[in-house]
Order: sequence, then C-alpha cells, then structure tokens
Amino acid sequence: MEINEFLGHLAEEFEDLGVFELTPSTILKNIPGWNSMHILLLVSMIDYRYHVLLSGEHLKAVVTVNDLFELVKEKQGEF
Amino acid sequence: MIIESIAYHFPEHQIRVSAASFDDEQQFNAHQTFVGTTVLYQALAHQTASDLALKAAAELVSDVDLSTIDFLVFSSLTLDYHAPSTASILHKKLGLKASCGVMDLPVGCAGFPMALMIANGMFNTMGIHRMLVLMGEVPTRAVHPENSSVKNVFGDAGVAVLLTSSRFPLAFEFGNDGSGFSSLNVLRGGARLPMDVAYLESNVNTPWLNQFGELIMDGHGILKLTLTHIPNAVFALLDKYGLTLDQVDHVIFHQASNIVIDALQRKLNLPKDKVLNYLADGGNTISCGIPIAWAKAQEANRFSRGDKVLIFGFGVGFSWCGSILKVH
Repeated sequence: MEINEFLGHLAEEFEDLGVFELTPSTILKNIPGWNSMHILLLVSMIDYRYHVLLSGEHLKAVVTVNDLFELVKEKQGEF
Repeated sequence: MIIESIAYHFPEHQIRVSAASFDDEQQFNAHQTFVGTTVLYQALAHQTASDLALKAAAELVSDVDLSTIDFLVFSSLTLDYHAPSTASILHKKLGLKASCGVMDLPVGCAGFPMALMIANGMFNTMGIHRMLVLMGEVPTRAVHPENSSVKNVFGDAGVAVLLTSSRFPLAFEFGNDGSGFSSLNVLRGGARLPMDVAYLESNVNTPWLNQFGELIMDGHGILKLTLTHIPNAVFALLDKYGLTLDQVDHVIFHQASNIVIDALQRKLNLPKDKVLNYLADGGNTISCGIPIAWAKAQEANRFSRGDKVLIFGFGVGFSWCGSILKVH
C-alpha cells in the first residue's frame, strides 16, 4: 500500500464534502467541517478498501493522515 | 408466508431538520450526507408507541374479518406498562377474538424480521393462518436535546402488517453479539438501574426522559458491529435460499442512517438502486423502518409481483435477523 493511493481514497471519500487538498501531514480534525461522522466514513472506507475494521480505541492516537496510513498498514500486517 | 398488506402512521407533529438546529452550515451538510433525515415525526406527550401502532392497525384491518386473525405480535422498545403486555391491551382495543394469542417483542431494530420468524414458525407448526404484527416506537421520548449523536436521527412511528401462511416457509439468519451493550442502550427505569430522585430531578427541563431514560449511541461502535456481522450474515442467509445477491431484486436494511446503509451497500458490492433508503421522511424509527420502507417502495411502484426482497434488521443488542420474501 502506497501513501498516494491512500490519499486518493481519502480524497474520493471526502469529495462530496468539498474537502481541501490532503497531504500526509494534514491534521484530521482540522479538515473544515470535521466531525464524528467523518470518522465513520473513514472506518467504512478503510474496511472496504483495506479490510481493516478500526475501533475507537485504535483511532485515539491518530492525529494526521500519515498516522492513519501507518495504523492501517500495521493492522493489515496482523492478518 | 406472505405479507398481505402494510399500513404505517407517522404522528402529526413534524420536526424539519434544518440548518438552524446545527452549529454551522457544514455540520448541517454533514448531517444531510451521513444521516439523511429531512423530516422527523414526534408523538405528542400523551401518546404512547401503542397509540401509533393502533392508528396504523385501524387503517389496515378496516376491511379484514378480525375473526381470521390468530395471533398478534407487538414489536416495541417503549411498552405501555411493565404488565400486562401491551399486545394484550392492543388485542382488546382492536376487538380480536379470545382465541387470538398475543406477545410483546421488545427487541428493537431487528423486531420486524424477528416477528416474521415467529409467524413463520407458528404458521408451519401450529396450523395458524393469519397473524397481525404491530410495531410502535417513540425513540424521541429518549432523546436528550444536547446529545448530537441521536438528535435529528430518530423519529416516532407506528406500523401494522398482516401476514398469511403459504406453502412456502421462509428461511432466516439471526444472531447476537452482547458486546454491543455499550454501543446502544437506554438504561434507566429497569431493575438494574431504577429511576431515582436524583435522576428525576436532573430532568426538570427534559421531563420526557423520565419515561424510559436516555438513549445513548456510539455510532462508531454500531458501525463496527454492523460491518463485522451483517455482511457475513447476509451471505449465510443467501446460502440458505441457494441464491446469490444478483438474484435478489431489492434489499432493505434496517433504516439506521445513510452511512450505515451505504457502508453495507459498498461492502456487499450491491448496486445502489437495489438498496432501499427511505430515511429522508421519518428518520430511524427502530423496528418500524423496514416495513415502512417496504410500504413506500410499493407506493412508488418499485416492487413487482414475485420480486425477491432481502430484509435485514440489526441494531440494539447487538442483535440481527434477516430473511428473503417474495412480493405478493
């Protein structure tokens, strides 16, 4: 899994919401209009694309897009 | 088993979900995208869930010979009393015959398919031919106005469904994951956590919460449980019928929220137009949602006779139940 592919999937997900350009260092909660429901969208997308079902506990330490990417990579490795 | 007819009733009081009830326009837009509800209905303070079910039932049975109804099931999380059963009260109000049995089914979001499962079992083993399934839910009674995860999501409704036996029994797929306790609950007023003076006094400005307590939902927890169990359960159900998803004409998931329905649609690779979503008008009405979606699809001429409809209820518990029915 490459970070660019991951960024593309994220951007696709947030397209409808008019989200600005995402980079690995983008802080998730600083995305305009970010709220708890965006997390649900992320969880759904990551389960669909990467077959990793993240819990609230997993996401506690996630701040940036890159943190999320690393977490998904780590969880994929557990299978 | 055949669904002969369905009637539903929304209470008169409408709550229009508008930008004014959100902090800003973006929060409102997110709600529209993720939840999808534009109008909710709210029962009046003196109305109970069974009052809403009764209104739907009165419409449904107006031209039905009541002596043909052998059993009544009432699905609701908000019963009139601890005893007697609310189904017993509805039995009297509807004037059903003494040999018509009754049962409450307080199981929540999977209530409709579970009621069908009871009917299916009774039809096929007890020589019963006709059953009335009523659903009534007043979740707005348990919504705290400052709880953004449940506010503008849940609405009140009543439904009546008339079932008839046929030569073709249904198959069901069901299950439960008790770890869902913390993801969705209403805890006050039962034996484990009774209403106490401090709780009652804390609701001076929210007196409706003194009926059942407060509805608490962890949306992430529920989504995770849904994605963990429901896709597998759908495939297990299809196996029981020897069908593939392609051979199913319509899918009605529990009408929870756009995000939950869309997540399942995507994970199961279902075409979007096969998955019914009637959340905009009425919101999440617990066990009423699936039969309301069925009735609305019929109103919109989306169903043809013989169409195969996969229904799947899931939620509070975390519990689930699904089946596949043909349109009569």
